[in-house]
Amino acid sequence: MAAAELMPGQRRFTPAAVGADLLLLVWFVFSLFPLLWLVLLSLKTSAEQTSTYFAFSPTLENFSTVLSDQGTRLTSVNFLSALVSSVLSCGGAVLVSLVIGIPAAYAAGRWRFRGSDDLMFTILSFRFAPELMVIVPLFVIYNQIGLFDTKLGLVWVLQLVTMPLVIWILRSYFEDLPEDLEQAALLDGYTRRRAFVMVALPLVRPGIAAAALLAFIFAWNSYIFPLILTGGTNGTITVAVARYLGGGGQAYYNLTAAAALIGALPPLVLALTIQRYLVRGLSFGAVKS
Amino acid sequence: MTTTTSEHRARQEPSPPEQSRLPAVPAWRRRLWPYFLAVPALAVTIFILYPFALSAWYTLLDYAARNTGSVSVVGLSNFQQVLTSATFWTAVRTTLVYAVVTTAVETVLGVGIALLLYRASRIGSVFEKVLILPLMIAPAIAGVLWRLMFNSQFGVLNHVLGLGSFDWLGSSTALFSVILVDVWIFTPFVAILVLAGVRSLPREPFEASAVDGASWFYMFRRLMLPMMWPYILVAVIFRFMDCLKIFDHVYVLTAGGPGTTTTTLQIAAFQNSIVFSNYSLGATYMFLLWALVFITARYLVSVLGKAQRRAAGAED
Amino acid sequence: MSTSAHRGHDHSRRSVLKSLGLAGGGLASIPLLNACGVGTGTGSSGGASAGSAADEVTGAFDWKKASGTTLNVLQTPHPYQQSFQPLLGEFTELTGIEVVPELVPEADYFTRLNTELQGQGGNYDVFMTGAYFIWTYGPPGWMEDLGPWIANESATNADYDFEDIYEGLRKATQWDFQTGSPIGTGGQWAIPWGFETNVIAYNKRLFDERGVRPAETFDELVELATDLTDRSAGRYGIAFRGSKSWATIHPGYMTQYTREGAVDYTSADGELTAAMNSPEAVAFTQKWADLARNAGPANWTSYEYPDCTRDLGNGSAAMVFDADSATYPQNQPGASAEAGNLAWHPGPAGPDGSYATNLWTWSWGMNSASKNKLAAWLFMQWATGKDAMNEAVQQGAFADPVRESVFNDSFVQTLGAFPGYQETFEKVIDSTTIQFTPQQAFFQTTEDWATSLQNIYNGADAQSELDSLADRSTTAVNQG
Repeated sequence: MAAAELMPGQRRFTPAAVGADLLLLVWFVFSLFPLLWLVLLSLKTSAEQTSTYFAFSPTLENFSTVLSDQGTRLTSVNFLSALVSSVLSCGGAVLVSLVIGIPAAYAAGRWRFRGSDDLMFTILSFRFAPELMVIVPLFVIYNQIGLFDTKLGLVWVLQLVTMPLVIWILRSYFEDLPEDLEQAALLDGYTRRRAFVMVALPLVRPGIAAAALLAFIFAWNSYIFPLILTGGTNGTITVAVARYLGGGGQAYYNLTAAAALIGALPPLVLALTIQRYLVRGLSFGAVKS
Repeated sequence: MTTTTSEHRARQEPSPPEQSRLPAVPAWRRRLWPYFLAVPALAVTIFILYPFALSAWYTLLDYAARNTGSVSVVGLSNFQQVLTSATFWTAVRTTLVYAVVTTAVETVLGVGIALLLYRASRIGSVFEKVLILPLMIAPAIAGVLWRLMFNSQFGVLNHVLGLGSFDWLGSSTALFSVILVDVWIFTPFVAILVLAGVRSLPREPFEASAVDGASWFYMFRRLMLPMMWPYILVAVIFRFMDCLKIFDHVYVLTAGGPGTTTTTLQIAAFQNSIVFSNYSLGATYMFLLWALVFITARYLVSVLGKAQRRAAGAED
Repeated sequence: MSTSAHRGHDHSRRSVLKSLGLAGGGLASIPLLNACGVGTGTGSSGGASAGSAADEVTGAFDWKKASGTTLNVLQTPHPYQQSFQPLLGEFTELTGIEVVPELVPEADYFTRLNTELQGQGGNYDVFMTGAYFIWTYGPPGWMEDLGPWIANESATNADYDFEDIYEGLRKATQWDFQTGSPIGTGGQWAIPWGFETNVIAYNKRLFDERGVRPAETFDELVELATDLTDRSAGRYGIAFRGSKSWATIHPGYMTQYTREGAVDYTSADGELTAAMNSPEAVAFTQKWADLARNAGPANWTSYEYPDCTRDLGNGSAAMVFDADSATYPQNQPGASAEAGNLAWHPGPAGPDGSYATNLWTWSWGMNSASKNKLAAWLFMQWATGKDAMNEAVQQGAFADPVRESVFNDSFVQTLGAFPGYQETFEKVIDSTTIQFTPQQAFFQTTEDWATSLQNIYNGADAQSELDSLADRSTTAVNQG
């Protein structure tokens, strides 16, 4: 497989390959340096939090503060329960989007039906409205129907973030899916539904993985919706992290950094789990032959 | 919801006897089938319609905190006020510059990174694992991180780059700096989408033309790019739309300043509706922003449609 | 909205809707507008308070009157809040009221508060607020008038002694919502809790080393700050805010602006005329922008007060012109590199010897949509009362207490290692109040002011920049 993944006409150890690796290196220095800085910040004491040193005696105290009662006192939020709450509501939101979105993406990718473009555009339009445009009316509605500060309310509003991503990413994959594969399955006596589940779905696995991962991350990072629509009980992790920015002249940058790193773990774990689906998507070409 | 719908549909179908020919399903049913699949997704749109309609209604009122006792319908005068104000047009220009530059840079970089990672190389397989990391830090927090790094007094960037007390967020540099942060956060988004897309491309055309002795550049231009376009364009559509309504990290970094140099439309809308409590005026800004996103999305989607048809052609 | 009487201009709204044929609820949004407080409230009838929920409280005062209630409190993290947090248990013991605090970081606090009040959700009973916010959140009827509560002996402890709170602060939280009226008129919309005066804090170690003394006039300050600036050593003369926010105008700038004899508006017949382009205002603003450029931090236009105080604490700023309470924590042992080296000074006097000083007060406001108003009032009364405040001050991070008795009893004792703090306070307190003219477009016009200041800093002509600012401001404040 490794050899097959070389781009046609490319060989290892040519000057071009070395040059390509160097270009990648430049990007990754730029990409990882701020993260390195974040890690260093999370290991510094409050007195050192605005220093530019790379060498200092690191402490894990910030992490234990964030996870302890002291962190709860500083932010009025229990960090661990915010973590759980985030996992549940963001996971729930992505799941709902997949369950509802995959059939819609399939329909739009497989068939050109009257209004299919309009439908896709409508779904995309979820993302047109600036968050601030809908947030106040949503807040009023949520208060009236009792969705304020609930996980259900969060799952619902996060559809604005996750649904368009899922459907639009997956549609490209379904469109690229050769129809004859399913036709063959139908000829074998499969129902449409079984042909979809047994043949089409496994083939777009990389697409589903990419869409689910990105949707989860965007939901996870979403800030304004949970800031306004949740309170102390079901607040998300991103809101909890930002609470360490404090006020009254006291910003706990080191605690914010530690909290942000802990808060990045669930999407990171998900990314690593999903990565093999991302990398090893079955190639249609391979299937065809 | 969908599963029930499709299950329901499936059960209604007469259990297919040995199908010798395709398709046995009546034509009308085949025609309805996609709609059934799409209905649940559409149903979810309804909940966004209500708050959206309410916000649109605000644009016709003079609803503001100072005025709640006597809210009245003022027709299009909010639009008139906004469309004739210099602040609005400055914000439009800033937003467009931001969105175009950011999307262009991220697309070029993202496609480049995806292609570089697509060639298997040892360094690439390591990098691929960490590619996504900047996306894991919420933009609102990333803004804070970069604000610390940009600080001219004790920021690590000036320290490491030896720039003395360079002002990253000054009137001539701020827009560049907020774009830089966007590129840092979201280039991986483009790269991941494109990389996943490239990996799902069929191999035969490449193998065939490699046998014919075609150059790498030829294959890239004539085969790869057309087939990748749909994936690239989906990334472009999402990035461009999100950039038009950019808020989080820009607000943290500059709050729209210095002066109005980084005041994008959504920041202007935020100032009007949240800081100044002039809800109708804020809603008008947001409605106009919505219209801008709508129009550009319409255009981009039609480009995408053409690209998809061309890509389908290239694959055949 | 059952508790607040529905008065004022509602007839005009209804007739507009009727004329559109919408009054029957034809458009989905109309019932919502009616039901959720959008367009309801006390209108601009500010002062009066007929029908206050306070009137329902009768009988002898008893802390236990609302026992069993759960109170939701919206706060932003602050030394004040942290000093009181350990005391919340005592409040619950005293009253039987459970307090659920929610902390929203300062950067997002007013976004959250604005949405909560505008949506009239009633999710929070009590909230921290500043005086300027009353000018925006008060007129729509979102804030409870606390006057009737203070006056009601059944609701308020006889020992409460409201008059013990400095007069400038009590006035700062009163207004009748009429354009052109000064502060100190109308209802009591919030109870001051902690406050700050805007004065100079300086690095005494550095001053002693260089043999210099704090400046007594503004021109001296400019000279001193410029002399102390040494960019190659990473040190500059003076830090003050410069970010694009109303909060850039209100501390040092507004204080010195007033001392130099400039005013924001002149008032005649209920109409305000902006005066930011008066000769003294233009001259001062130009000097202030030059001072920022020549002796301020390199990225001044993004500076907020934590940046200023941090630079003072780590020695890169020689002076700060900002809140005394914000610089105070930097001098506490171990809090910063320069802890123990800081001192305070009232700042330059005006040409006529004026020490007019602008203040900020974190106060407690009550949500008019609260369903637990008695419990809310008991909480506010406790938090701003003498006993709790004395205790909080002893925690060592409550600068400055709003009560004269607490300042003199407990607070003064904490000031041993804070040279000049008390002298500065005593010098300015009598001329400390809100130096802005109260008006409902405060945030809009004042952020606009900050934008103009940034433009002048970046080289725009001060006179023309301030002329157009004044034009826009005059229009904005007299509108509606």
